[in-house]
Amino acid sequence: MSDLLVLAETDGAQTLPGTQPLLGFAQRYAAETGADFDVLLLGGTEIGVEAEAYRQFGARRVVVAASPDLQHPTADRAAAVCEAVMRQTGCQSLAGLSSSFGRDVLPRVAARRDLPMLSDVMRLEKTGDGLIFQRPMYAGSLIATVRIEGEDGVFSVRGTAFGPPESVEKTSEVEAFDVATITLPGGVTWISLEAGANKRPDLTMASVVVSGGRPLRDAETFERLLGGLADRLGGAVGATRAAVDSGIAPNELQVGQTGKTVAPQLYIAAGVSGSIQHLAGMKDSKVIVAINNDPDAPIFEVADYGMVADLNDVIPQLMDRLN
Amino acid sequence: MKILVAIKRVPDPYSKIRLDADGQIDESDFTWVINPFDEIALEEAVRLRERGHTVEIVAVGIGDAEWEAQLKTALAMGADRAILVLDDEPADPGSVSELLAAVFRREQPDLVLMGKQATDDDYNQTAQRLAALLELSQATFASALEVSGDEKRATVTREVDAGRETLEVSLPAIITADLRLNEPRYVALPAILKARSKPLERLPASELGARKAAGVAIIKMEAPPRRSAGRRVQDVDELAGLIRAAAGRS
Amino acid sequence: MPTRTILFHISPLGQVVFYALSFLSLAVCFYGFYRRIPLWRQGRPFPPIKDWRARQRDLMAQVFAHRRIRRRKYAGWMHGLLFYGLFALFIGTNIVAVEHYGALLFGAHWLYRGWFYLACKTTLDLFGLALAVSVVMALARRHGKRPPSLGHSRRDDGFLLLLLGATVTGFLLEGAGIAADPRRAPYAAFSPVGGTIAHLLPGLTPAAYIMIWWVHMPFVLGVIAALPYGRWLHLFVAPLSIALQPERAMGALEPVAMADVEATGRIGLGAIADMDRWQLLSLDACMECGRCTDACPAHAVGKELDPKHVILDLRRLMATKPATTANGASESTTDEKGAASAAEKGAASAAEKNAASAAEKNAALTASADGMPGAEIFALSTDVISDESLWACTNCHACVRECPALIRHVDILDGIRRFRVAEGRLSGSASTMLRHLNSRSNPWGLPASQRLDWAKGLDIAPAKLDDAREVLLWVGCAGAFDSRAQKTTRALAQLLQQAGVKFSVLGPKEKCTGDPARRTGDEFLFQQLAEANVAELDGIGTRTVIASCPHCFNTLKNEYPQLGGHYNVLHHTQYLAQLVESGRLKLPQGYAESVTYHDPCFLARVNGETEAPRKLLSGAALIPLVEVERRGSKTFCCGAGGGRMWMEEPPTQRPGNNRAAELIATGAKTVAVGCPFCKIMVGDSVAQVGGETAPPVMDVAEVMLAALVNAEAAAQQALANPVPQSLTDKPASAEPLTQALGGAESPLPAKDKDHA
Repeated sequence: MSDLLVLAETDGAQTLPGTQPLLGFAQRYAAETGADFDVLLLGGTEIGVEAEAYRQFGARRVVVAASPDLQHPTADRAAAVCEAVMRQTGCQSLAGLSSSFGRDVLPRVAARRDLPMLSDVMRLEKTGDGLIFQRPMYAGSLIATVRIEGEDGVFSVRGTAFGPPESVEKTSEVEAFDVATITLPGGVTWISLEAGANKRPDLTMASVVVSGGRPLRDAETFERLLGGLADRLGGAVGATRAAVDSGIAPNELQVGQTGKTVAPQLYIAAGVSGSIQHLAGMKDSKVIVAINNDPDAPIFEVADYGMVADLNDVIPQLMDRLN
Repeated sequence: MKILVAIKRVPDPYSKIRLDADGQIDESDFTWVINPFDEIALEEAVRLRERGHTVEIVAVGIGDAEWEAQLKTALAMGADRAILVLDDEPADPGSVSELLAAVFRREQPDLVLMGKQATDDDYNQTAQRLAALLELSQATFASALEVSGDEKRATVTREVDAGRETLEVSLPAIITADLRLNEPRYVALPAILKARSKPLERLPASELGARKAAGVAIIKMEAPPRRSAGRRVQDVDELAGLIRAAAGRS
Repeated sequence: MPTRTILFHISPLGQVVFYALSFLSLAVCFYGFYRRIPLWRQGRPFPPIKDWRARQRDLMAQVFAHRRIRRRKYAGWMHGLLFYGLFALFIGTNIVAVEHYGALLFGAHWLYRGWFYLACKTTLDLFGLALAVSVVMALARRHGKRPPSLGHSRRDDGFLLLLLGATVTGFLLEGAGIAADPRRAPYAAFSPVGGTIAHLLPGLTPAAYIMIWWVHMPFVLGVIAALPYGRWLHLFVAPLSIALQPERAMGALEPVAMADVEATGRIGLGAIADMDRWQLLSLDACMECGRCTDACPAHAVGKELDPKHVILDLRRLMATKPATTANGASESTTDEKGAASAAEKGAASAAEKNAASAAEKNAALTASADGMPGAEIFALSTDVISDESLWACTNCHACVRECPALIRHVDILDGIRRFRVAEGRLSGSASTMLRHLNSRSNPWGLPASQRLDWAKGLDIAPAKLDDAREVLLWVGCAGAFDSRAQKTTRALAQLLQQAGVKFSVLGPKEKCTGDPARRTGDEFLFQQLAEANVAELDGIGTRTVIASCPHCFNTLKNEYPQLGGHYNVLHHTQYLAQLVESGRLKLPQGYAESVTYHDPCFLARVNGETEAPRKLLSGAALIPLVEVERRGSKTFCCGAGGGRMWMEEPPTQRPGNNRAAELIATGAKTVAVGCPFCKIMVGDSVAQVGGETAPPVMDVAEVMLAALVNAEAAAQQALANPVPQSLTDKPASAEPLTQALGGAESPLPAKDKDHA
């Protein structure tokens, strides 16, 4: 397999914690194939200051593509930079996080370079038949073991499936990529980002997630009960599609097939019935605790600990005891 | 303006996914529907018309003759005509986007709308690939869409991990629909009957001269390991203790 | 001899002028009425009527006994006085006419004389007074505390003043007639009002009488001429509409055959011509009283829907857009109905199979649709009734039940829904529900294999072919899938077992009755589901069906006969009441908490059953039932019907919240219901409104089971206890009542299970 370019997860201003499992994947890839990997830090003019932090993971080089035009890296521009950096570094394969940023950018590069792409890679392994990967299909109802045609590919990596990278002795070289040498597309104008006012840890990276459904009734109750419990555990808050659809929780909290995939140490599902679509987003959590007043809710079939009770009673009591 | 809406046929997302003895997906109990995200995309096209834009909606599907049913539903929902690119090969985002690009060049639409992902293979690639092949702007995961009066630009609100991002894209562009863009209308039988007179073109894929992209080979499929049900806890104190232990706090 | 001279002192010329004016007035009146006839004829033919006696009974009850009008006290009295005042004067005038023209044959004073004359005088005088009083009452109401839903215009004042003028001048004239005619003076007392006025006009000359006569006549002729030009048109049309109303039960919608849809390309109400003639007639029967709007639960929570304005807007549309093209289409429909008379019985499935081939060659389908001017197709859909209004209707039938003219608002709204669904104008969560019905045959989209989950731990067998059991328990989708409704199903099954009733269930073969599809406008999905169910029910030889869901109950009972499914359908409370009555189920008074009962619309209002659940609750509870103000047929909707169960509702616009407040205000410790959807909606609202102290919401069957369990426990305790304790001394109140219901095992002692 060919050398791998790793597109660090970024919001343009800084790299994001999701880069850690991505580097974990890259190390694994390198170990299995014997190929090298480079890390691409892409963003605004400040992004380069982070290069130092990425030199200790065994990458051949850390490439910095900093430009005011990448302050808000839209897919067309990020893809153009990736393509050019791959040309410059000789990396024939590309990996990024299976996040809204990665999913937006990576397929674009795959098409530009005519590469096969695997989305949501959960595992990779070297076998007699070469490198094989695992990825979910049908909302996680099936796990497919797949192989790409040819030596080169693009991979979007599930952050929950890989651990953080190990530090190594050898320090990577830092190399700048001069964005000015390529023409960035101009068809997309970034207007604004309305961020969820979230002081809690990133949902996909948190070690504890407290998640709730429609029985939370309204936004105030949702925040008071779930937010309160999450804060006592230093965790993040998640929500079901039903809760988001009925306006109880903001959309960026949605966990499930069409929302975020999480796999924390502890997942507390309160008032979550456990539809297949929701389970798809959380069933890899290490310990699942379910609180639901319906004893037959499917969530109990995956929960390690289940309590049949009204969450309005139990959560305040839990908050007391966890103070 | 002309809007191309790409339609994929998938099993009803409520279907139970099972493997048969050969490890292949057992399709015997499937009800087939339009991929829910594509349906949202089509609904958005129809709503653009209802918001006052003069719109011609062309639904396009790539598959075997079975797909006609879904394209007829698309016509009943409000597409003006449909194109079925007849292709028996299994769908692969790389090749599908090449075929869609060929259809794009033939139709020259002002906008392509499609679902952000198909609920069967969950790839989430085709639209982005199509945009790259055509060197067009893209806006994925749209939860709101507005087309400017002169129909030269579109403002798209996207559901991203950090919240809601707003972009302005110049048209033509590729836009993918996320769950909350709209809730699609219901298509009753009389509407499908009425739509029968709308044109449905059957076009062999070979006539489009699209190239075949490098793909992915599925070695095997299997059901994920089942989590077994744990135990029921009766007491809040006990539950608090278990939570504390699992969260790594004492 | 007591009598009076007709056209007293009126000169021959005066008489000629009078006749001329009378003819003019009658002509204007007749024209006003006549010009409506072509408007009604735009519609499809009248629904056939077989039982004219029933129609006659309705006419008597509603027109002469004022059954619905009386529901409002002030307005009821007002209308009664006005109606009978006018009616008596109309009869009186006719007697005078018979006398007058009969005189040509029988000589003067052949009829209107003697005691008969005096009786008429007194009667007419008093009824005239009633009329005057009623008009004053009407004016006072319009200018005093006028209900906003009534509406008011200058025209209304004009007409009332005209009527008042006619009445007052009539009395003046009566007095003048007595004063000016010495022969009538001795009998003045027989006209109490007229006689009193005569006293005030001593020595009145004939010339003055003639003057008053000429003042009175124009008022009277004016009233006659004005009758058909305003809300008073209902005077003619409401009785007509009541007499010609369709025989279809209130809870049954009109079936449509696929063949007709293919032939015409039309389904539902998309234009005036799509309505039938009775429906159009009923629009004119509306006298704009606004009772429908006052009763509407959607209107009460501030939604746009206003049933009265739906009717008035349609009436306006009927008068302004004669739809000739559509009429042509509808004429051809009736011709083809003979050929496609399978309409009533199972036409849809055959039609569906033919649909593919037929529609292919059927250019008419689109041709006829395209031939319609677009404005007309969409007239009903966009201009007149907004989507928001249309989909806000819960089909609770409160408007229908209140309407004194028997207008069927719900049928019209559901007809428009049919049209709009076919036009692809339904989106949102209701469309998701219909998708689920399509793919999974239940509104929640859950697998059929879970249909027996409610029975876990109970000994219940799905029905087998030719299963000759006593009754079939129709579980319903809510009863099968919703956790709260499952508890009702469990309680009911246990009660049936306790009574030794041999019952079966369809289990995974049961499909949604199709009610939510039909009520949201997908007629063919309804027919498809109904046909499958009828085939299944007939296949096992079903005779009696019990349903715990009033919506299932209504559909099975009132709508399945349209598709050939004829069964003896009972709501579970009706069947349980029969069991108690016959002694098969002994019902001890074991429920210690106070209970109030929320009547489900489709049970109480639409199907008239209000007694059975009350009998059961009174039998089970130790404390007499605490009644809520709006009950029985006046019950107030929880907000779930008409497909609303599956539509998004902002918390402030939940009709159930209003209802919950009323139920909580009764102070009862338990709210009993008889419908799974009421249980969900009222349950949610009671929890929201009542907070911590919200009373539990339980089905009647659950209350009964709790009573039974408590009585058993008390009896056993009495056995175990050396000191005998009577049941009434210490009811099982020490036992938490509801806890017994939650367990997976039947709480009944094993010996009782042997019956099952």
